[in-house]
Amino acid sequence: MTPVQSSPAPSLAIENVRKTFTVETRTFAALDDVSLTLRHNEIVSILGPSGCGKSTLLRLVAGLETPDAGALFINGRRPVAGPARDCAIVFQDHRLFPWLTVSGNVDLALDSCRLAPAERRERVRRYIALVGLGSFASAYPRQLSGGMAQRAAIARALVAEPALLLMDEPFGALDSLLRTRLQGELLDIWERNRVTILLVTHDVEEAIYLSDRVVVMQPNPGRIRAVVDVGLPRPRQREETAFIALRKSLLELLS
Amino acid sequence: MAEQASSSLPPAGFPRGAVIPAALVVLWAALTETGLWHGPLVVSPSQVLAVPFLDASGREIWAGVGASLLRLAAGTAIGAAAGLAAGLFVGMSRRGGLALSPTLHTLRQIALFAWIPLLTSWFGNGEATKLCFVAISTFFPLFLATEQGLRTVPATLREVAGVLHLSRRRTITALLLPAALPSIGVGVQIALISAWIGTVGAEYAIGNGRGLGSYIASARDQFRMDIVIVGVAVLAAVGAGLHYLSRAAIARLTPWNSPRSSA
Repeated sequence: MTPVQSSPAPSLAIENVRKTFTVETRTFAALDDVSLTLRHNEIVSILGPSGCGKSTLLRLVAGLETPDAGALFINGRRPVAGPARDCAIVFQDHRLFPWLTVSGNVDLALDSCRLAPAERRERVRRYIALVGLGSFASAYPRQLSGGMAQRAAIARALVAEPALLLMDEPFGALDSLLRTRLQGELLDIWERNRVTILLVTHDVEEAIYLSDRVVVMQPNPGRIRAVVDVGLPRPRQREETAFIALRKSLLELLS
Repeated sequence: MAEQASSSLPPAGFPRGAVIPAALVVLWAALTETGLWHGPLVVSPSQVLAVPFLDASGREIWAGVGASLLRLAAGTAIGAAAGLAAGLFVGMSRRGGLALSPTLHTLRQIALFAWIPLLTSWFGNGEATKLCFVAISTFFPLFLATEQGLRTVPATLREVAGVLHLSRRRTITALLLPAALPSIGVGVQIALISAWIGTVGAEYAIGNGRGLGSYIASARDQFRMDIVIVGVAVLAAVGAGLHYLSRAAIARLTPWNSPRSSA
């Protein structure tokens, strides 16, 4: 793939976004004046305690919620109402359709792309192989383990080749061994298919291991507290001094 | 992961569920054959067993069952199709639902057998009334189950359909219908039970024509308790058979919904 240099617009621009929710009669600001810009092919993690609005921010980018104030731009374009185009999301739960096989689920994501049937089949096959589920293409979600189901969900998100991949605690429901492995696999996929990734997590190590930058958020109202450049060469070692030092300072920012 | 569906395994040897009925039949046989229990209306199990094969009027039960099953099939086809259509319409179209739903939810409050006087005055005592009655008895279970199935499609999966930009048509075929199918399946099961009760009930209440219901009614009028008991037993057997057949059919149609060990 050729490096993207021609497009001047950032992959994602979030400008002074505000989102309030009303529960009964109380109104609270889930997000207040949040601005963030993602360069192309960058991996940015949003880190913060629960209730800091990090998932809300992701849902705003995905077009699943609309901001009360401010604006969002994907590749310089302001998405029209409804779910954003050119952008895919992986949720914490895999959300596969239980009545469709892995192939069927991944294929569904190509429904709105106009592809020739042969190309479409090939694309589905390729992305299922990419996440290591080649021999489970015709398995139903209930026949998969949690990690396999989440990989299928990642294939579904990637198959339409979005410019922006949103991930809402994608490995949060998995055990730590599996989580570490899938983090490695995600980086492999990212190296091969360059894509911008915005990832919500509450796992400090995950944020450092994966991202170019870590956005630390704080609750009540949800705001960006700090944006930290990771600046470590990949592949990163979780035991190295710089990694541990960064983890320490991020944990301090969070407390 | 490798959980076993132990509760659905068929029991080995004598089925546990048959113990109580078998014990009751043995008790009944003991009381009648010894003469401890006697009277003009008391019959023994052996008499009852022989009646549908050896007795001239007893053998008519087969024609009656056949006529009832045909009526059940025709009435169910009409009522279930209409119920499914109404449920899909109300469940998928917000405005359609708001317009139609209150009417249907009010009509379903009418006790099933309260329709009979109305239907007989509209359609007379013939086949049309009976068919209409069976259709009504299947319409509401299927309508309610379909509407419920569509209403309870998980919001999380609706969001997925949104972010994948599925077309309306694809959302219906890939999400709404499969998601509602287990509920519709339960609706079909309830509708069939309801239809069988409706079929025999209409025959019994109206009393003319062929069918298991009118057959039992005339046996009662002639004090043929052996025929009445056979009729009731066949009634139960057909009902149970319909239930198991429909359950098996639904399980085949919704394999993702039944317990199964993982790969």
